[in-house]
Amino acid sequence: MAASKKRSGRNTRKVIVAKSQKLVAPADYKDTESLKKFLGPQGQIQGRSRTGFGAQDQKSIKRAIKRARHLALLPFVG
Amino acid sequence: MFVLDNENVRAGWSGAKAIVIDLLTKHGGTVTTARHWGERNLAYPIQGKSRATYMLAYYELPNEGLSGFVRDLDLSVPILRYLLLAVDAIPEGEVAEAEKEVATDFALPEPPRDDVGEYRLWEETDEDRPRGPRREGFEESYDFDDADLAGPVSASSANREDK
Repeated sequence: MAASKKRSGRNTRKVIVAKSQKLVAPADYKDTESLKKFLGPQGQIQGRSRTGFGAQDQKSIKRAIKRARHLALLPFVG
Repeated sequence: MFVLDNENVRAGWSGAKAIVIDLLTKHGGTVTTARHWGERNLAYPIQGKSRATYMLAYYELPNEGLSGFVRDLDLSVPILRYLLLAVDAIPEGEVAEAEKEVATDFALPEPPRDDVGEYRLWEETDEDRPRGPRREGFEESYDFDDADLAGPVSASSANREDK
C-alpha cells in the first residue's frame, strides 16, 4: 500500500547553471559579466542547488558578488 | 578599488588620481600601480550620483597607517566608495596597464554629465504633489478660534449647562 512518492516542486525546478553552461566559479569581483549569471531576476544570489557548485566555489561567488554590490557594480535589488 | 566622483575627474584625471595617492603617501604607503578602471553607470545611486569613475590601485601600506587611511577615505567627499583588499601578488599585466597612463598622449574622454543633480525615481509633476490640508491657500481660509481649541461640546454636556 505504499503510495508512490512525487518529487516536490522545488526539485522539479532545479536548474544547474554551472554544469549546463560549463562555468567556472569566478572569484574576482571585477568580473561582473560572469557574476551576473549567478544572480536571479531580482538580483538575489542563486543557491548551491541552482548553481551546482561545491561549498568553496559557492562561497567565492558569494564573496565576489557582495564585493561587487558594495562598489555598485552589481545591484542589491532589481 | 576606489569609486571617484565624476566632478573631480572632469577637472583632470591626474588630479583625481592624486587625491587617493596623496592619502596613501600621507599614511606611509607606497603606490605600485594606479590606473583608470572605467567610467560607468552605477548599479544604484551613491550620494545622488548615477555615474562614477573607478580607480584600481595596488599599494603597500603599513599596519599603523591603515586606520588613519580608512578614516580619511570616509571623510573624503570625492571618494564615493572604496574597497581595500589584501592580495598576495599583483596580477599579470597590471603594471603594463598602469604604465599606459604615464604616456604623454594618454587622454580620457570627459565623463557624461548625467550624474548631476539629485537622484529621483521619477520627475515630480503637479499631479504628484501631496493632496490634503497642506495644499496652497489652506492656512488662509481657516482661522482658529479659542472655541475650537477648547474641544468639541457634546450634546449631554450642553444640556447640563442649560439646567
